[in-house]
Amino acid sequence: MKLMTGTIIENSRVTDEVFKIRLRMAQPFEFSPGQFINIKVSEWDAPLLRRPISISRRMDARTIELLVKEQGAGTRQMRFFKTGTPVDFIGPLGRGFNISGFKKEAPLLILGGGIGTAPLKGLSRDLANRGYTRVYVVNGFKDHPYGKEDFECYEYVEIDESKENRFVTDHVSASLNETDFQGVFACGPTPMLKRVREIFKDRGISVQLSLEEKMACGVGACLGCAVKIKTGPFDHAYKKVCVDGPVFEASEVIFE
Amino acid sequence: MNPLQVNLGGLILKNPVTVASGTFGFGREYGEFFDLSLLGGIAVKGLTLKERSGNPPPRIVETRGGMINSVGLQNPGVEAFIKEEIPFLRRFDTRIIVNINGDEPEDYARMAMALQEADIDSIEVNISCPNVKSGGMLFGTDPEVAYRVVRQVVENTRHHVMVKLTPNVTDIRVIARAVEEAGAKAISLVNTFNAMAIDIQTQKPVLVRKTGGLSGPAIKPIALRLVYETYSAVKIPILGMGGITGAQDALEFMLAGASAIALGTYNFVDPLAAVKTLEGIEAYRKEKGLENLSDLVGKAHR
Repeated sequence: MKLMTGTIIENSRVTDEVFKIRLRMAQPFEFSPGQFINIKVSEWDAPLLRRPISISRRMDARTIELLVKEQGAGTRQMRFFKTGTPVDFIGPLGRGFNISGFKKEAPLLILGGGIGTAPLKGLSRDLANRGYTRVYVVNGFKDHPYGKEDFECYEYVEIDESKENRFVTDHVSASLNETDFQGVFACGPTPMLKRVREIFKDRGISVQLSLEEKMACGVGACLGCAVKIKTGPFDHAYKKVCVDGPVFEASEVIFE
Repeated sequence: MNPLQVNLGGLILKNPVTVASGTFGFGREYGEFFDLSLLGGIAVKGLTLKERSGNPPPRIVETRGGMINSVGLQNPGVEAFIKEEIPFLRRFDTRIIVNINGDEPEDYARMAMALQEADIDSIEVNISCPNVKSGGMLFGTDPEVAYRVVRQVVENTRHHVMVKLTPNVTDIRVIARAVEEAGAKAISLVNTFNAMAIDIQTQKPVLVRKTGGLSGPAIKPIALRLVYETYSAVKIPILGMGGITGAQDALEFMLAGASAIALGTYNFVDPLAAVKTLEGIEAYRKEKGLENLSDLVGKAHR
């Protein structure tokens, strides 16, 4: 993690609520899928705290793309970030998805919900670049699905909940054979992640969930972004989403 | 002599810039951003006798110009601190200020005894944490209890003793005098302000414990006033804090009567804030032609 500056080279609308920002750095920028950056959104400290935003994908060695949903004061300001202006951020932060240990031909499942699809784009491309050929993606959106073109995978299913009256996890239960998969990667709202954990419980495969929690420092100092994690059969501890996560094995997570 | 050196009642800091407990972990995280030897001192994350898991999330909520936290003293316990963290912190030329906490008054003396042989520079008696069920702030709002807690620590330690006060009192001077009388060598103030945020969707307080501690720029003017008041009430020096973001704020605190200052919440906003504050203070000292920075302390009282 480093204090860095990037230049906004694009800030454009994706849907009414979602926009994408492309940030170019002076130097090559290394990260792994699932990591995030903590962005200073206001020169005037309004809002005060940085905003943790996951890196959606790499455009080239020096350029990354962020997919942001307007949800409050911080993301609202980001929507008005002007092309050509510098942005101060700390990154890359956290532990992303762990894709070592899978065979190249292993069927892998990526599950995204809404803005949670952001880091999964980079993940799907990374898997493709590494020669994984059987990656299934199921993404769900409340309405106005987006981002299909950015995924690289064997099969892509898009669910528009406003039209279909079903969730990503319903599709998994009804149309996919969960015993086929050797790894699952999910990012989305908490109810979805809970359900994903339920579906793949006791299958003995890696189910990796990317979690979200309010953060202040983003670097492990403030202990603000606590999540309850199993540390033994009868023990648990509060871990930090920012440095111990944001990606955790589903079997370790205790949802409160 | 080093013109930036300050004396906090026998604790000599090479410069007045420290970082506040709970905002800097044990230094490891921010040590990635700058050389910790630049700091006058580091107040470590609040410790308890036994490891403590802290409060359930959400633990923080941002408000205008500040944040409310309810971390609840999550820490590895004093023994783990001594073993794992002191050797790391000692690699840097800075003062180690150890923030101690207890559920009952006697716990503080127990903590002091546990730290007796430890290689540290100061004990900061935290009678001002608002985020725990028992102890903490309760001890810092009653002058008699505050006296007793501090007295027991002073009698059981060879280390420099500083006391961290809560602003959540009617008259901070009463508490300040009580801890001075109990033998404290310095006072640090302020800890966070009791505060609340409510979620209008759930129609419930955001934090599980309902209230938490407000910090950040929003509290600075009140913290400054409290430092100003305390300065006239006691003879022991003050480590001032509360919403400091840079040299301008830091200098205001010194003029109000703080011998040294701490950056807290603003470390989260800018990991280099403490270093920049020090640079700004030094620039001001030169600009004003001050031989010793400590000549500034309390000057606003003229």
